[in-house]
Amino acid sequence: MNKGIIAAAFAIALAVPAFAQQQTPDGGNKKADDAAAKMKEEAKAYFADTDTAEYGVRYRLFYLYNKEKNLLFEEDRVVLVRPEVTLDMSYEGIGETRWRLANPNSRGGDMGLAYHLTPSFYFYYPETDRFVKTYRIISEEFLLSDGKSENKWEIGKEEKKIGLYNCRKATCEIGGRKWTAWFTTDLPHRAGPRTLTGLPGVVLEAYDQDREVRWMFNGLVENMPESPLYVKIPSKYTDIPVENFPKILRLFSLSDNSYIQSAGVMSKSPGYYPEKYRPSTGIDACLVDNPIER
Amino acid sequence: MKRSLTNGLSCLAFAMALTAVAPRAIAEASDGHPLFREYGLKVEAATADLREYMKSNPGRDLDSLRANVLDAMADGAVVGKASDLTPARKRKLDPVKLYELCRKSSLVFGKMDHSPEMNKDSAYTSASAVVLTKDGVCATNYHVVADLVLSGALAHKVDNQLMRFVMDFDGNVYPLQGVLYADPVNDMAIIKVDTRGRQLTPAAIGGDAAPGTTVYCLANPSGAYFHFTDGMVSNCTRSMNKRSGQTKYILEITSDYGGGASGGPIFDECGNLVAIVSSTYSLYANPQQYRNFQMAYKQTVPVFLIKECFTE
Repeated sequence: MNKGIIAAAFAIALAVPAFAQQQTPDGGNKKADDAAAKMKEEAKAYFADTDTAEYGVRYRLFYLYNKEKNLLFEEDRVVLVRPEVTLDMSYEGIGETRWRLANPNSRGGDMGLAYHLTPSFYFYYPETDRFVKTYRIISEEFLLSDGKSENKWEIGKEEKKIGLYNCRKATCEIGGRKWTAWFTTDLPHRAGPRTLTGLPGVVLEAYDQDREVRWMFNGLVENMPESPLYVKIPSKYTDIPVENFPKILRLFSLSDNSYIQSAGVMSKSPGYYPEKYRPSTGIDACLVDNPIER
Repeated sequence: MKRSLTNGLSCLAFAMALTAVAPRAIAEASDGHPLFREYGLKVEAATADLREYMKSNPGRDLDSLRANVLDAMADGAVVGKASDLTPARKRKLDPVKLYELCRKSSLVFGKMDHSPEMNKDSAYTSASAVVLTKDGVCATNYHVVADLVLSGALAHKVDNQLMRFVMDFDGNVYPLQGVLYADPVNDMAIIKVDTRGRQLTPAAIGGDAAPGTTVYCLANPSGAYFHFTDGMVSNCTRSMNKRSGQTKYILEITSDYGGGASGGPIFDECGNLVAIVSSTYSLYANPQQYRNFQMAYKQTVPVFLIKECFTE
């Protein structure tokens, strides 16, 4: 699950410091190369024995998060699919890594990415309908909920094609919104974005009745040896009481990165790869007056 | 380029404090000219005072403050009652009288750290603050306490940091007890200090200051303690971050200040608090090289944001 974090840190390490570092006589950039190699080693250790997904479903999330100011949030999300568990997380890190693999000599980044990353993670276990929500702030992994998905979907007869896949319409009321989801059985296993789980297939498109929140299918993501789709379930959660999470989230989502750097919280456990990741709280940094679950 | 105004010379001050003679209670020299004050000695005296405080108040150090930082914070933005604040004054004062009045509410913000190399604890100053209520509620910048808040929020321990404190014009030292509210977007924080049985002198709280309003800054730039400068409100701006929807309010002024003035009060001609210092933004003819300095915007936090934290 920290693949996005790893990839983003990797991308930042490759891109940003490059401007300030000394070039070696042969034109190489030794410091950047060393840093990248070190990060790779740390990532390898972090993801040792971690399962990978069979594939991922990429979505573009559109979210009218502030109706008053008509502000739209966009984020690339992905649902990683394994038979026994799915993981909804931000796609930015994976996307950045893959863009860099495809463009090794280029600067900048993938212009197709929204560059918004919310470190929220939704695990869904189709066999039992168990649903776990976690959230990472710097090095701290918060377990926000661990319960059961009890969505009561009504599956209709309406069908349409999304990409190459035949989809069927289903509706359900979840979290105060009436949702429509288009799911396919052309793809293996069961999966859906965020809380829209429990359908007998893979959701490729979903939106609420007012179309204020939309997940739009944006292609499948292949598990590649050079960029594996890790489904990392946290082995340990923070000792910080979860009641404090809203206050912590507010502080970290609104604080400049410079303040966070100077607070010394980025290096609690040196060598633990994901902690070097620049904090981002995505949608939670926004002034939300129109929550997804309202 | 934007610069926040915690004291860039605080390291120097720290070194000076470390090399000073053994801590002692230092009073104003009775034979000195009463108008000319030796602020540096007051900061030195703070070291001894805070050592005593830590001895007699175990558990009130920075570690415990950090551990309880979220508990001390209000759930919302409201930290007190509007009636706790001092109403605005209506009579204009000449600048000399204004200084006499306002210096009682202006504070130096400082830190007490342990130097493992020299095996010594020493107080030094880094920023400014202003008294809001007589029982010790004060305002400063978020960036002055951000490290404390953020490390405390994630339960991180930081070695060798012992205390944070404020010091008034007379050299009285008040240890920081907690951060009641933090507004990272507008760079404002409401803090609470231990008044140690005294009553502080709160600033009168003014209203909105329109462009053209005469203002005075009374803060502590780089060791120039209780430095008094005048100017006017040059602009009132707000900017909404289109990615986040958050709005930042800035009261720009021409009154001079620099590093160390962060969180210091800006008064109007009646001695009412109209803003607190936040940052400067410098313009250069050659911005890439930071050469040929042209001007600096002085960006302050308008007082209405502080007032919003106090309701009935």
